[in-house]
Amino acid sequence: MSAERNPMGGKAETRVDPTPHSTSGALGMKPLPSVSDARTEPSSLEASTSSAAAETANSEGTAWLGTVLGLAAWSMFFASLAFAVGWYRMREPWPPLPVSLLGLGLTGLLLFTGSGVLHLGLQRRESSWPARCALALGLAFLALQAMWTHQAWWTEHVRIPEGGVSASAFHGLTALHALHVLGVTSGLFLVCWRHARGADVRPSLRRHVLGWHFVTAMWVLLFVAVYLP
Amino acid sequence: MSLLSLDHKDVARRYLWSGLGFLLLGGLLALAIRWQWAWPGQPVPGLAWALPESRGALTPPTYTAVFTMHGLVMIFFAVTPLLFGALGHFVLPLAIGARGLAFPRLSALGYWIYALGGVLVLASFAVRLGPASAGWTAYPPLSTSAFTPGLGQTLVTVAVLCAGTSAFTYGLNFVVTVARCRAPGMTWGRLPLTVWGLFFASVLNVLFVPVLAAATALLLMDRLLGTQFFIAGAAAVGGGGDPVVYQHLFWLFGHPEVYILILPAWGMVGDLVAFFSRKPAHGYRLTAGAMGTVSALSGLVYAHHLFTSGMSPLLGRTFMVLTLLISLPAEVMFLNWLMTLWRGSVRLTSPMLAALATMVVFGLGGITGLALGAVATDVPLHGTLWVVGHFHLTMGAASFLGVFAGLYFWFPKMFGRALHEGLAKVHVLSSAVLFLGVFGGQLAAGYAGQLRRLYDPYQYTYLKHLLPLNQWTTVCAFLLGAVQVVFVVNLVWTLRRGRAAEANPWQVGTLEWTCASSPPGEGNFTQVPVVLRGPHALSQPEVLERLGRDWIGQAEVLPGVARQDTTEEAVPASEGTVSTVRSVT
Amino acid sequence: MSTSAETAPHPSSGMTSDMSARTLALREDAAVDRPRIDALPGERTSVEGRTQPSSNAPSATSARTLALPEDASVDGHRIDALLGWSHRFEAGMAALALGWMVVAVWRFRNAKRAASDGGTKRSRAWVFGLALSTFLVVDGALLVGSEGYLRDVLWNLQVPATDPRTVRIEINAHQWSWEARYAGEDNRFNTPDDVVTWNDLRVPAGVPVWVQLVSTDVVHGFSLPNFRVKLDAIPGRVNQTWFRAAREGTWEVACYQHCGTSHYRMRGELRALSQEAYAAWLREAGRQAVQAYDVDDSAAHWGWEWKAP
Repeated sequence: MSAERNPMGGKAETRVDPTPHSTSGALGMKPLPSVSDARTEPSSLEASTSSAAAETANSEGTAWLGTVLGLAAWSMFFASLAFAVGWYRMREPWPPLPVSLLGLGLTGLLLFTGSGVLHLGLQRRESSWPARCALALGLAFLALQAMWTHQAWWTEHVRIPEGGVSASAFHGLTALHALHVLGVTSGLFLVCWRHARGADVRPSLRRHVLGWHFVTAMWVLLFVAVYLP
Repeated sequence: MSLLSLDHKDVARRYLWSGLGFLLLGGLLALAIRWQWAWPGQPVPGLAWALPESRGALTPPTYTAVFTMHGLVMIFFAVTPLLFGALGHFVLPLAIGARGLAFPRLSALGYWIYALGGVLVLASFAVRLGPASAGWTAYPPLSTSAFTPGLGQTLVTVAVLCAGTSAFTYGLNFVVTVARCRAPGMTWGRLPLTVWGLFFASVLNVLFVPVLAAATALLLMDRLLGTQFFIAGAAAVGGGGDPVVYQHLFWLFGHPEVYILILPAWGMVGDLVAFFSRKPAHGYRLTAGAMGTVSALSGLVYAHHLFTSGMSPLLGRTFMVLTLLISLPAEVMFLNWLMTLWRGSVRLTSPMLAALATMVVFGLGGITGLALGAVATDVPLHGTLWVVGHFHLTMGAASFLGVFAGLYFWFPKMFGRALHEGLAKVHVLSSAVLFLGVFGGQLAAGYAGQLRRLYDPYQYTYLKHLLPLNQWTTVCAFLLGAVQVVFVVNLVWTLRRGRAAEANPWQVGTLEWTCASSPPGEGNFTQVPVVLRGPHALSQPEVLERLGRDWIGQAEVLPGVARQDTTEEAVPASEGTVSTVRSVT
Repeated sequence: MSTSAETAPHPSSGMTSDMSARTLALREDAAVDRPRIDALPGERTSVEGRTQPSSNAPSATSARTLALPEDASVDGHRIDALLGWSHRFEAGMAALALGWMVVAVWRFRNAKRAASDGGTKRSRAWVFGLALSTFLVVDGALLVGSEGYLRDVLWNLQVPATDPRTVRIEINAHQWSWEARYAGEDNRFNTPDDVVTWNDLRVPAGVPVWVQLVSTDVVHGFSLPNFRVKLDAIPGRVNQTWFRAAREGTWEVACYQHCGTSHYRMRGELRALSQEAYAAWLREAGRQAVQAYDVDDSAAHWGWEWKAP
């Protein structure tokens, strides 16, 4: 068949991810067994347990990819917020925050610590202390952020609406970010809960760690866009 | 059909019924607007129960709510859910040979978030001061509580956030499904164009819906918490923010959104034109690449909506060039469709008629948009019904006809019953002609200067002479509404006592028609197909010779032919296009 | 205008007090169902009280449905011509595409055999070439024509900035009216001799009119359909544009951005007067403004230093 006859038929070799489906080939799901295809040819009668394991690994990989893509896309949310704040900053001088920058920075350090702890924790199989530790760090971060906004509001009179757009950005964006941290922390809590009940939570933990890294990165954006003078 | 089922086909049916319901609501709202322009202030027939104080006539506050809700309902609750929620959910896994979507629970959750939004929209009609009334764009400060104090505006803003969240979930789901769950042998180069369209539109969804979410979140905070992000002027406190930021964020989402609404329809047209010309799509890779290029450019042209906002000349020029640039890939795609028809064997079935009608209205809509892309010619047309006619042709009429092309094509697969072909053709043709009447009339009125969103355009002396034109347009609109009854009759009758559909009524080779039953059962395929060729293997001589028919399934082995023949064929030209597409996405 | 505007107050009688202008605006709104403006061109009386040389002489075109609003500006014809060209191209494209489609369907309907290829290298190159050349011709013409207009007119604020006769107007858009401020004799804004009008712009014909625009409350759109002018009025920022009236006459100011319930009634009038009549009106109105100036009326004291282009 010439190329012109059927332009849709790309080479089978151009497949992007050959792995996920070799398992279905192994399961004998091909409609027409007479077809000989080197790649999908069942190499042997694999034990059904191992193909089931491969299926699970495959769906875990899919979930992982979904989490990565979802978080990457959702960073557009924070990028848009940062764009808005950047616009206001270019328009007029940005009043410095009366809250200690060092304090805010150290609060963010909790998120970094959590990232590190979780990263290490993923490499040890059985223990759930990294997740518990991160849970505590997350709650501490939320408490400290609440403390800073409380201080800004009541002590330093950075208020809405009197404080204008900079006060709105400080309180509003801090709150939006804190909501995301709260979401990730609740997710971690559920992971710990399920772990305590004996479930295998490693894949789920891996995805939540991604979420944690995400809020950490977004905190940097928040710090640069809103907190820095 | 269980309401809790996670199967993509059940989710699709849920979206279908909800989407059709909201399409009806949005259409009725549109008719109310049209009535107002033809017979301003006269009682709308049949509306007296809803507006007893004015005996059915629209008052200015009601009118603002009506056009606002028409736009929001159509975009977020009718057309997007029909294209993605119904057709996308149903077709995409089947067409790539997957047993389901990558994340079934996410897709079911997405529907319920959308449904929650829909409930909020409906509830907003019942609250004091009525639903949202700040225009579908909800520009602040008008949309802030100082100027639109009603609860309805807040409810609808939250509803839009819900629809956006749902769009984000299925966008992500589709992207991951296409990336991970294709059947063996289903290479990127063998995807049906419908899948390409859905895939690109889903990429746009996940990238730009978060931008809408950010703008809406800031707007909600301005409404509810008193923040000052978008408030300026007399209502501002402490210096205030800048409404223009909202406009930029909104259109950074809003312009890709119009491509989100048309890309799946483009894909379907590409497939259907090939199927019913009984020949492979002309320049498959060029078409897919053109759709990818449009998607990539779509986020870079948005500020043509802001040409009159006093933007800097540098920005204005940049966006003018980028906007004009996007017409090139669109032209390539359109010419490819035309070339597909040429030397084919054209069968005017109802899906094909709908696809051709989509081409016509989309072509006219695209052409009338050219003048809006250049700053100078945009000035007299900006904010007029010319703009309204233009975008209704592209993302209203073309998307609508695209939805019906898809629905008529896949209905036998969805429900196992065949629609009445004659009624379907009548519906498609009359709808297409009346669409041209309605939006052609709007283009003419806009060219003569009629501005959008005027309760009574004839307050202006320079618009008084347009009354007869608007009345004609309104008559077309009411007829358009009336011919939808044909579809409803066809639908109800078919679902009750329609004849069972044949296995492959359109005689095409894509997986959903050749490897799955109608309707497909749980898990879609008894065996996951191994794909051997592209989606448009029609009129191939050796197939004609050996099988005696002009089509062959994507996973069907041609008797007596070694596998190598099909796998080794490759297209020499335009290799680069698809790789560009990949890098773009 | 059947009664109120056409037999409008002689310059000496007012437009200085906000109240009288407001009532005028209201009365105009009441006269919704007045006859079409072009139906009685000869009967129109100008603000000076005498019959005006029929300002809307080409009213036949303005009443045509498939035409842009009558062009009353010096430079607007360039946009109109560009649009005309672009429409010719577009009509050509539409005819080509639709004709091609109709011919293809008619000729190949139920053809016995269909080609089996998805295009040859040559046919694909032809598609790309045709698209590219159409794009270059049509979009290129639009781009070049538009760019010329932007360079010479729309974004060329040097014209009003360098012309000594230029009239400067500050406009403050409200829900739902246009409040215009003229600097008066001292050429400075926000001073007692400023002339403030509501929904009533007066400009001399043939002279650059430089408008700077803000909004008090929501986003409005300032448009002069007959002068090919559109500009957003956005709270918190000053936008500017300029135009030249080609001849004397009365035209309309329209709001093109949805600005609330009574958006459709945010209508003003623009009168292009002879330069002498304009000067006389401004002098008299400024004199009255000084007399009526109220130091305590803070709401009436707005205006900004004229912004350089």
